[in-house]
Amino acid sequence: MGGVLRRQVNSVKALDGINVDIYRGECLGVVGESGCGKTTTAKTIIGLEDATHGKIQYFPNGGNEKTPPLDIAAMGKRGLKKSGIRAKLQMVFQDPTTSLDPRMLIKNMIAEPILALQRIGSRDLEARVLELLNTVGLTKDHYLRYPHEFSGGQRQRIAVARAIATNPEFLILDEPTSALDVSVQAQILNLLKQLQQKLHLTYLFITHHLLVVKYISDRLAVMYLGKVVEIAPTEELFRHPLHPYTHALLSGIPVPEVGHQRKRIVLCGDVPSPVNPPDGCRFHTRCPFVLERCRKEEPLLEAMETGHSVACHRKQSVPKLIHEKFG
Amino acid sequence: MPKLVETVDLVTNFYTYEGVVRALNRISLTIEHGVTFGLVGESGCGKSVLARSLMRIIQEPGRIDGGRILFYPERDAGPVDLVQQPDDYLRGLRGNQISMIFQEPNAALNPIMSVGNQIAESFLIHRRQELDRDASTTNSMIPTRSKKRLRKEALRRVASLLEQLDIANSKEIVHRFPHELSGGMKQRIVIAIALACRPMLLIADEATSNLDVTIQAQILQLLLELKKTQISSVLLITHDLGVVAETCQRVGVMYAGNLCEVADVRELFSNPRHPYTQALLAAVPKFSQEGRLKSIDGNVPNLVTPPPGCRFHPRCDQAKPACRERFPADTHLDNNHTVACYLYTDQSRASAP
Repeated sequence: MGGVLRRQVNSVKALDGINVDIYRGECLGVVGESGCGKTTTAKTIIGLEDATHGKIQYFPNGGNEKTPPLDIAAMGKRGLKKSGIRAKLQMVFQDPTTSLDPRMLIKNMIAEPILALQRIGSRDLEARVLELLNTVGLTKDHYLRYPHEFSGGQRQRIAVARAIATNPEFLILDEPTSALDVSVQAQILNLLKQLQQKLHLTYLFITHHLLVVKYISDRLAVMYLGKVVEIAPTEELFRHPLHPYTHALLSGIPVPEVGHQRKRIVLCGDVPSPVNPPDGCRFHTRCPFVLERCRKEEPLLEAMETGHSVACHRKQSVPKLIHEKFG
Repeated sequence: MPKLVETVDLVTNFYTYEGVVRALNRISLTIEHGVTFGLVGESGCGKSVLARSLMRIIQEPGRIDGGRILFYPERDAGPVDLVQQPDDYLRGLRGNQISMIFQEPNAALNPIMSVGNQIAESFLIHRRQELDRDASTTNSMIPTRSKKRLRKEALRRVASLLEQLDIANSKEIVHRFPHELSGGMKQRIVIAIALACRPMLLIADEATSNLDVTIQAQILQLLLELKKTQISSVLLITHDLGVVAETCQRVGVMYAGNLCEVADVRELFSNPRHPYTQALLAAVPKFSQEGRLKSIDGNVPNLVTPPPGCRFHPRCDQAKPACRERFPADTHLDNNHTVACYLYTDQSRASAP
């Protein structure tokens, strides 16, 4: 396993024609408004939801090229269990108060995934659980307690400990800090960064908070109504956004700095219902630069420069249009 | 700027089975006419309790146990102490001179009442005489003094109010029920209810926290525009420092039931004085973030048994022995900047004559 190998781990085609590659050792951020399919994408990747069409390819054995990729979507529940992929792909959920069983001791909660995979002596198990608690910044004192005895930040640490108990390669973090306070959020973000380096993890980080994702992720995918509209390295995306929706998202972030001058692009209207999405480009109902073509023809996600892909008919002229309209 | 609302040593406690929750610990703060005042702090620090105390809607087992809330309804006249006022007076005040936008629009709206009628309630309660007068001029077909006539007039006003709030096809929306509207639209309805009587103070309690970024941008822009034309002062309660930086003129920072620091927004962000404010600003990711975020160790204290002295001292890296004993008094610094911290008490004594 190597953090620098950057070999393909997964190739997802879920929801409505989503093609995303997640590379070994990176943190891919996924942003978008509620209901755009961020969580569904994540759940489909680890087999909590079934994909209707398409493939979810997982490249096991440290991305060894000789091992053929496994298609998670085609495996079914039993196949997934047998192959041991579940242990390698783990998830941390949004709200630790609901993702931890209130009637289970912390000790048992963290031991559960370990016991599901291997036979292990009680002494070794205890040592392993304590080691995990230690890794996430908790101590021996917390070993025999129930979730309600912990604060929100500590609970999220427990959820992280449980997720890394099986030595996963890939961790899905679904809004792991949105239920936490600002000062605790920083603790968890730093913990996640540190764990990623220490355990060579690959992250899929889902959030609606753009400054959080800017802090933690290497690449960023912007989703709108079940589609990826833009994907680029984080720095590049923040410096040269191309899709009008990305522009609006970035300009809508309230920035905790004074004297931060920038143009604000306020979109009109709401996100349409995903049950009955608009024809053509799904963003056309709210796009300030809509053309007749956008209403009819759906733009494809096309690579612009190295690593920067965008799905927009007017991608070449968007920066100019933004400049003209919003100054 | 003349004062609009002022709290003096306000104390609110909650008497629960676990003990007395000391939610507000002698809060003194002033909101002037025409100012957008931001109140920031983490969850459980007492922001919402302060807002509810201002409107006197603290519910059992909570109680205002001390202090005064001075409200200056007219610029030249003296203040009214809201803590002492009877319920009748408060009913005339709430939703009329002081009104509130609640956090969760789903919980704030009545699911079995059309949104038009919910907004019309404000007019029917507070503006009865005006409605009666206007109704007699507009539709004289219906006999005077009938409830139906008043309601019709109220709904006419609702439609024009919704138009001002940029709500498309407002005539149709009036007859809709909350479940038929999107989150952003529901929040606009809640805002319309709060704005109906053109309050002097609008309290927005986490008004945009549950909304998406693009919708939040719409609502904040709307609030700022309304602030210019319709309402005098806004008390904006949020945990998002970004929202404060972009919308407020003055900011108060709360921690565990105490007001730590109050300053103008530029001053607070460029020159934070209280160690908690400094730590809080260092803990949020910024646009130009480089390097690691600095987190604050430990957790927010339990308010049943808050730490003695300054409530921040267990997490403060500049704590002194004095911090553990007594709560620091407010120190007034330059630039209209007030801070409650022992780091600055000596300094002010030196500069005082």
